[in-house]
Amino acid sequence: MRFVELASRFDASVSVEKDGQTVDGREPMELMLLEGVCGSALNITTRGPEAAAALEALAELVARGFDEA
Amino acid sequence: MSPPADPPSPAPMTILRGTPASPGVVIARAVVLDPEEYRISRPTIGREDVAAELAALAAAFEGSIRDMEAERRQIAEKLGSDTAAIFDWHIGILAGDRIRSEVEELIRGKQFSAPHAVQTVMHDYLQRFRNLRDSVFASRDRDVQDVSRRLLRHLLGESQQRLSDLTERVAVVAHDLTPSQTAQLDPQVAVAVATDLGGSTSHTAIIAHSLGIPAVVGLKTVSSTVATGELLVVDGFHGVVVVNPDPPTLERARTDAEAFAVFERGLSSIRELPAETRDHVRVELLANIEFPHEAGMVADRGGDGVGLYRTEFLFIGSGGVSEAEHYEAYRQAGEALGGRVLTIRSIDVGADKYAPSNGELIERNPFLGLRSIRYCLQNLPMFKAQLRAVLRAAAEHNIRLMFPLVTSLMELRQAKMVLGEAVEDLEEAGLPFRRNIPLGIMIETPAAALECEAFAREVDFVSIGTNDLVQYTLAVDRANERVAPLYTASHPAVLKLIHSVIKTASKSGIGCSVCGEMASEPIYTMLLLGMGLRTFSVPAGDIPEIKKLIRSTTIRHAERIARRALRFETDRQVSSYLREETRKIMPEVV
Repeated sequence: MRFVELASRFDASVSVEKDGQTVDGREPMELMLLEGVCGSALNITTRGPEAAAALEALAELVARGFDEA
Repeated sequence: MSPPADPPSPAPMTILRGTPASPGVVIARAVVLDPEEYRISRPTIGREDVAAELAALAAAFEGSIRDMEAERRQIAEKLGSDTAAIFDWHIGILAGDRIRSEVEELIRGKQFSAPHAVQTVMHDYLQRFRNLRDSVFASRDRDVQDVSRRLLRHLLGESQQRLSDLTERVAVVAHDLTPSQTAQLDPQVAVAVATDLGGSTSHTAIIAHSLGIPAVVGLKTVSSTVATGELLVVDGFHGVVVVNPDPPTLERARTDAEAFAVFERGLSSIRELPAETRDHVRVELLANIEFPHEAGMVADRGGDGVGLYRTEFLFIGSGGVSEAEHYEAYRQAGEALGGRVLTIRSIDVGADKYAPSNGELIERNPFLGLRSIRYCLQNLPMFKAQLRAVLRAAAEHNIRLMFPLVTSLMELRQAKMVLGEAVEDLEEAGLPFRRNIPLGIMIETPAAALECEAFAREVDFVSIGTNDLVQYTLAVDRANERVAPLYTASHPAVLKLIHSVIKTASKSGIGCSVCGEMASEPIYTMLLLGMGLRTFSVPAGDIPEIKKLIRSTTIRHAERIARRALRFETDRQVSSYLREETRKIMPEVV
């Protein structure tokens, strides 16, 4: 949810791709169905006025381990 | 092109037919249980209702989000915000656009009712989760279900309830009842049961019967036809459920229900009287039980003890039962019986029952497979734990032990050896127990019946399990609808085997009882008496009826009936004859 919440804050569309499957990064249901298990590779694409900021923030969140314990 | 709107009209009367599972007639409002989905009252709406339906949906979303946020706050206070974060995803999927817009689209575009639309969308996501490979992510299906139920609760209001919330008398309607659900049924509240699945010997039938409430199973469509709150007549005698009975039907049902209640009260007056024939032959009338608390009912119903305690019910819903848990159950049952005999049958799992699951092999032919005593002999720690518990409980209570499905002497001797090991364990542990516990076997196969004389030399009693004996003798699976009509205790081969066991036991000086359904079916009472049977074990609820039959006949008469019945060539002739003869002395039970 942190990912979704963060992604939703920016004026940009967010797509997340894994193993050929792409989902809307602002949709919690879709994201969960992507099965982003630990260690899997995700491709994040952002588009729109705040695309760059969004991408930077999301990349940082992922690097921090999604802020999960 | 839209489907026509439902015409407004009083709900039509519908008659559903199934299998009678437990006798009685009851009129009550339905509560429909679904393990996964709530029953939707109407699938589609008229075009003019779309706006209202969308508004109801919006209110349900808002209400659900509000409730979840409140719960999140409460949990955060009690258990910390990390734990509360679990709710974030639930709240997130409702607060987001995706689900909401998919549901709205079905309402607008296809005129689905809000509950039906929610259910359709959520069911789809449920399936997608269940198909995921990663089990952690796949288990999110439960979260989807939770959210779905919450929305439906808001949309459908108070009418959907859980089994444990019930406070008024209702008829419980379900696709199927799980064992733990049947164990939770309180006969004061759940006054009848109707299910889509199940046969006359299913779990639901057994429990409803021992609770003394009418039940109809195998109705196939009852849980999708009936809505919670609808008025039902549940007729457990004829296997019929009437939904929204019209006035004449309702009147007739009231009369039947009253007659049944009177009959039940009349039977209860027989409680103090002994099960004695008119020519003063005393018959022992025992009960079949599944749970310790039923032992208390035995005395209430005027029984002489317990002839069959099906101990595998202890396993339902658990990962296994400890010796202490076994002991506690047997001690309780023994105490409730106050000195009357308690016959404990060792674990009879496998086939259609509930084994402690740990990746059991799927058998192609479970009824001929590793079940019952065979299972026990290959799972010694579990078997010995039970045996130790039985031996210990027998120190203070009138308990005897019975092994099911024994087919060979070797098997019996092996089981006795294991019993001997259990004795050694207890000696070593210094715990009190009864060393020379009376031991018996169930005769459930042609092999055991034909070898009864040899068995009789090594046991103290036998009990004929007619359900399985009929099944194995006639090679018919009673749960298989395609051949179920072939299953009958009236078959001459079955009668010959039973007769032979009773005679052999008597000649050998050991006890003999019948504990299958045949013992509680009124048309067979005189036949069994006439064959020489003097101990019947039946569901506690049937004790008064069988006692009344016993008290209405003489052994001489019963023997004449048995002689005649044993000469027929077909089961049909046997059944009609027995029915006719029973009708002569007690018409109300046939």
